[in-house]
Amino acid sequence: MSNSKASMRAPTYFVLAALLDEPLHGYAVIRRVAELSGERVRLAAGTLYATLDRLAETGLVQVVREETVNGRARRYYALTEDGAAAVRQEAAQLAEAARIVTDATRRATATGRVSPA
Amino acid sequence: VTTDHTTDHEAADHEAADHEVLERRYRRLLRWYPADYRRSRGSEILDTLMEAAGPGQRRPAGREWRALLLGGLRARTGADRQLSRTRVWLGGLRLGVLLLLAHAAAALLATCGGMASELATGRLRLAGGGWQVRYGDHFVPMASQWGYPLALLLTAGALVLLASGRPLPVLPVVVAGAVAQLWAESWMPPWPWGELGFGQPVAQLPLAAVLILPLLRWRPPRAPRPWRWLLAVPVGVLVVPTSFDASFPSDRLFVLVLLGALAWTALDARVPIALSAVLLAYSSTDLVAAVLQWQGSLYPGQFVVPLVSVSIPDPLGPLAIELALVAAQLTAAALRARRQAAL
Repeated sequence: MSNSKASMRAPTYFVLAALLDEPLHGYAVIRRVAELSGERVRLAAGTLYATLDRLAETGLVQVVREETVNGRARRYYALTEDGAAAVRQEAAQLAEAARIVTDATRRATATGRVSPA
Repeated sequence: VTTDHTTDHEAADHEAADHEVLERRYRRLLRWYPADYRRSRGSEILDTLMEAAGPGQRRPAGREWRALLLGGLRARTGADRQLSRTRVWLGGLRLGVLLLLAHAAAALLATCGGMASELATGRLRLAGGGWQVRYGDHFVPMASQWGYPLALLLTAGALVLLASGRPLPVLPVVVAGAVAQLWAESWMPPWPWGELGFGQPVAQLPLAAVLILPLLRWRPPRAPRPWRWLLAVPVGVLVVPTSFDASFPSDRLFVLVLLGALAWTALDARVPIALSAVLLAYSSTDLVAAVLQWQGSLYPGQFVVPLVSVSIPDPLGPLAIELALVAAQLTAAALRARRQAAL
């Protein structure tokens, strides 16, 4: 996979995560990202297509279907194998980073320095 | 029932009209993208924008407006491409060398224009195939004046070669151009830095020759129409400080150019990198001036600060401003390049 050492921006991570279950078209990706992030990430169309362009260029997503709706083009995007591997790798790194904090919080709670939330 | 039906029809008509207005406005915003991009993706982006629109919405949402503007400008400048940090820095360096060459060519064009006007007034003349300069009642041969048009031709050639994606032959052409320019200025005491400052910038070509070295192992992209870079030369005569001494406020325009380039950092790290190269040329000129003044070769009051356009007695002031600007630009570029390289 190209660019495997580059860090992933939040929109990229969420777009890849949105495509884990099934291929989606542009607006469906935006809705799925909002749903997955608890409405914290609301992608503008310009941001979405810049992200999709970069992901297609690096071979992490691909167009799998095209149709015309109301006279306008609609394309469905799916993860490639590299894309699925990249988002899982990023998720593992995020989980590892989160574990550092949760472990420290658990230790502090056990020793009574922090009261449990 | 009839009234309800009519109201439903009216509401549907209103909504259709609103959507039509909104679609027209979004189509207008999509013009920020290049025509090729619009042909392949315009209809799809429009579909997503219209799907995301709320009922009765007639105006594009602010965040959609901003994202389309930035996305379009990035697509036009190639900043939307996925590049490694190294490629971003090399791209910035290539743009910087192009700007240095355009700047040097603009300064040389202004000087050649000055020579043409001195030919008209009789201070210069071409006699027996050589240049002669009038001193009082007699003319003194000055073959080195050929250095200016020669350096101009070589610099313009190097500009087109680099824009064509061929950095290797650019190096000897730039070195030859720098030698021709130094030859042209060699009559001025103390050689070769006699008339420093922004009227006669001499650091651009030597600096371009140094900065092109990292580009030799990388095949830079070819500009779609390389000769178009030549258009930057006459524009540069007006925009950057040269010996072209019209009533044009070139120093103020240059400040505007600097500010515009700083704003462009939000889009592309290559621009502040390139701008640093241009500023570095000024600071190296001032650095040499400071050393010469320290040695007693020059007298105070000879320099002009480019950014505020006031005469000051010391080149250390502008040198400090320029170096601070270079540091700020490179810091902004490093941050932007990191973000640009992220997936």
